Amino acid sequence: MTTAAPSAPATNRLGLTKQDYVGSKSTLCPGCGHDAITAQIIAAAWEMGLEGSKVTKLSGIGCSSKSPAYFLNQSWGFNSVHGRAAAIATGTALANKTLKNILVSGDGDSMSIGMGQLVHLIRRNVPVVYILEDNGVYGLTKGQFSATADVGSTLKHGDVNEIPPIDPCSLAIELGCGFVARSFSGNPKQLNAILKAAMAHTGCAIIDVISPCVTFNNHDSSTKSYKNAKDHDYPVHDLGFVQYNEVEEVEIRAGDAREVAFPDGSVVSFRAVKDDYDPTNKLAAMQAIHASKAKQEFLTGILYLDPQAPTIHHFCPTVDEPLATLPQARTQPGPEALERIMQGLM
Amino acid sequence: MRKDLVFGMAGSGGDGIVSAGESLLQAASMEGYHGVMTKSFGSQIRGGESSCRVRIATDPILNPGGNLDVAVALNWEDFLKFGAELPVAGTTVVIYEAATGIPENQIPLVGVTPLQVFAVPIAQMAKDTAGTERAKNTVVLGLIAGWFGIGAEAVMKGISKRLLKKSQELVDANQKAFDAGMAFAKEHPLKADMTIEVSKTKGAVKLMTDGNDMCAAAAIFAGCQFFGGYPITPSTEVMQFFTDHVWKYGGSVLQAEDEIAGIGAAVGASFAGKKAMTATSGPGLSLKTEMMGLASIAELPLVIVDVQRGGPSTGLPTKTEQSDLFAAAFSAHGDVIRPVLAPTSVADTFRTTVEAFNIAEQYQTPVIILSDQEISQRKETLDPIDTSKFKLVDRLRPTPADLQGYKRFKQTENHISPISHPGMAGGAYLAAGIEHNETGAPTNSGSVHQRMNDKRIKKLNPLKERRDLFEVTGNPDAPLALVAWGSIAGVCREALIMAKEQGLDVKLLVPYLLYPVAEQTYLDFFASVQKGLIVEQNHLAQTFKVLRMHLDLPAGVKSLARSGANPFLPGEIVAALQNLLAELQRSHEGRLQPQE
Ligand SMILES: Cc1ncc(C[n+]2csc(CCOP(=O)(O)OP(=O)(O)O)c2C)c(N)n1
Ligand code: SF4
Ligand SMILES: [Mg+2]
Repeated sequence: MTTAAPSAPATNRLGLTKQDYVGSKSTLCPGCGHDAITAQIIAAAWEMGLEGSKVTKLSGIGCSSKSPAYFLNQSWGFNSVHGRAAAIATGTALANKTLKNILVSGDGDSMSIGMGQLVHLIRRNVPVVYILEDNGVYGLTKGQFSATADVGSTLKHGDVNEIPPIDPCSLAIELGCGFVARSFSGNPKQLNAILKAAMAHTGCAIIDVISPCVTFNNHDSSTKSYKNAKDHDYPVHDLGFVQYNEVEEVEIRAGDAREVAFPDGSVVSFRAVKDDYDPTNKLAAMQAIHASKAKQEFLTGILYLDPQAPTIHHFCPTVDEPLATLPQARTQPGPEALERIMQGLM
Repeated sequence: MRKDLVFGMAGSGGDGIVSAGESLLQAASMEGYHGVMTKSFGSQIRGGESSCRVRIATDPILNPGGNLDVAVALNWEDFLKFGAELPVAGTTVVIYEAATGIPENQIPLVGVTPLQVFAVPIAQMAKDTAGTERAKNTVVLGLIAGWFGIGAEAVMKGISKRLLKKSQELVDANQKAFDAGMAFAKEHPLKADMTIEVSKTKGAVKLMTDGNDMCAAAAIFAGCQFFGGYPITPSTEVMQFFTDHVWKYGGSVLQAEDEIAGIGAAVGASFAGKKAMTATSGPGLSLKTEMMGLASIAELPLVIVDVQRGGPSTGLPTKTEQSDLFAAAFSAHGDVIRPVLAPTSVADTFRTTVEAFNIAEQYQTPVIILSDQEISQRKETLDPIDTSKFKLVDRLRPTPADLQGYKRFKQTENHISPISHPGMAGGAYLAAGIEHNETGAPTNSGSVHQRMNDKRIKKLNPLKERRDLFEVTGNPDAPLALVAWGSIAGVCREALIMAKEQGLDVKLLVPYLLYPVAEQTYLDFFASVQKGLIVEQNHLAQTFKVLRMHLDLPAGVKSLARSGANPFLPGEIVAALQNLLAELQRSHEGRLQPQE
């Protein structure tokens, strides 16, 4: 018997293997949706050829917020405080324009305690790939309802939620977000395409990923269980993403797909599944989301896209060079500058 | 025969070590023993390592105990992760899983030779008898019942109580596993008899509960009708217990969007005339700070429970520490004093919580209860609470005469003004964070501000006279002393007993009121003291420093402080006292030298 010679592992455009993008071993419950998302973050970052040293991984507190430890070991993690990663991301982005910021949060972290920070992050269009791992509960504190729990969903011991949920996607569209998507941790192919497109987006990308909590919210009467999510996941299109450096080689069949280009030349293509869904039409997107909600379905895909929306770097003019590496002579203007200020006070 | 046994067990998440501990405690409680159980987990949500300590005794228990008498390791890797939380000594009987393959003379405990070591094929026995390794914890309980004599029937009853919810077959299978453990113990006797004496109170029913449940139960008893909060370990169970019960009495609970909203809603409920509370832990306490200032200046009664964990920030979220004293006493802008109380055990959490509501109502002020992870989550057996001992206080409400030209913030002799609530005819006023005069009208006047600050601070002075908020034990004239609060008080109570047995003349002061500092109570206590220790579980010696801010401690009184998680042991405190005594004797001898 002969064994095939081990083939060299595949590498990306930087010559790195997928293994170069992993993190430490997860300490989450086996089967947790968050780990499936982590796997797609690793895959997308590898396929995109992200430069690890130029990536930040920001998070708040929660099981979801632990995830940055489990991907991209070469990158800069900040596991901050509950609900405030958006504020940390804003400061980080303002101080360094060259970073790709990935933020992982939970539905508790984002939609309750961190709501104030999140809405202003969106409003300012801070460049960050915001992954909201949505399980309808506070996993880390043992399963209380969160603000995304659907009406009628129950907890394990029988409590029923009667308060209407906040939908992160409609909220983000309303606030003018230029990249709004929803996916499901059990749909790796779609999630992968969305993540890659989000990494190409220059502004704030909000991705609500239904991510079942197997320990506290995966029973039949929960609307955020694997089973319920599978049964009610309604993809609005098949997604294709082609990075700018490959656009020449990949031929996108004209006619049957809608395409949207990002400023760097990357292209995302949408092939309609059933009805034609126009992800560039804000009002139509809102209408579709509301209509699906009434039918207890949840639409997945890139629900709204406007790659040209001006970002925080337009509102708060920033220099191209990271502040940390600007020479001191430029950041400390010296006695003459103070002299001028004094004169202004005379 | 023993009067007291400390068990420490560790395994991985699925091993059921914590349920074994609970069954053991349940059995002890059925047999009339006193018992305490603490649990500790690794950082994984599920799986990962878990451990528990169970202490069982014929006399009342003051703390979870020091070195283990019995150590159970289902695997060594997990056991060793708990380090000083599960201390093995020369007096310990070690029981471990034989399948680990480690010979009895090579167990990985450095620098100790345990009293006796047993490699037991626990998993194999479980499989052979119950048909599944999941019964490992039941085999362990059989071994414990066999060797240490905590009523076998009661232990099996404890197990059944847990398993009956699932099925009778499961109970039967576990009975076999239990019997196998008992039989193994019989075939391999201990060198020395370590069975526990029969309890003097065998048959008396005891409660089995933890500090968080006691706190919520006491709040309901005190007439608290509103809870606003946000989940955070290790305080979440206060909200849960309150939620489960308060609706029967007309109260309500708000799981708010964050801690600020949680306390905000509680402030609103208090404004509306109801006793209200919130509960949190370190990070949440930080967020609540601004609202606590509002409650202080608006003179609204409110109880805030802070179950301390290792900090700052996320710190050690599942471990105990006493590092929030500064935050509780001082985290405020402006001139303000907030009473801070601390329970020392599960049992006195009830009393302390009722006291906190009484003080909040009496003085129209926010009150902080500083509990800690250990008290809040450890399970204790205790006698049913005798509620006839408690007097409940309600806020001073205005009389019809007061409502004629009502002044909400009226200057009175004791600085306490009758407080109305919305709906009370003639009692309308503006509650505000801005400074106000006696009627509640906003003001910018420095002299009104001066008078109002004076009122809000002086109204709390009588609290400092409350000697019943302090416990002094030991010889009142002793030259050696200990001061400790919270869960560390229990360790010091036990140290005091050990010290007396060693012939030391020591006394102990346990404050339940931490702030404002009752200067005279401390001065009286220290009058006879030449050497002493302020014992606390934080790095900065926060208690020592707060006391020094307010009074001159005798020069020989020092701090014994260290960070959280790893417990203080009564023995080390006694050793520290022995050193102090030796110093004292040396200095006496020094003084006796003829002076040339
Ligand atoms: C200020 C503060 N309040 C409360 C907590 C406790 N806490 C930690 S995570 C969490 C909720 C987590 O829920 P979510 O963001 O949905 O994450 P999941 O665990 O479900 O992934 C809470 C309430 C905290 N860490 N800090
Ligand atoms: S508790 Fe739920 S959210 Fe947290 S790790 Fe486990 S499955 Fe995931
Ligand atoms: Mg969640």
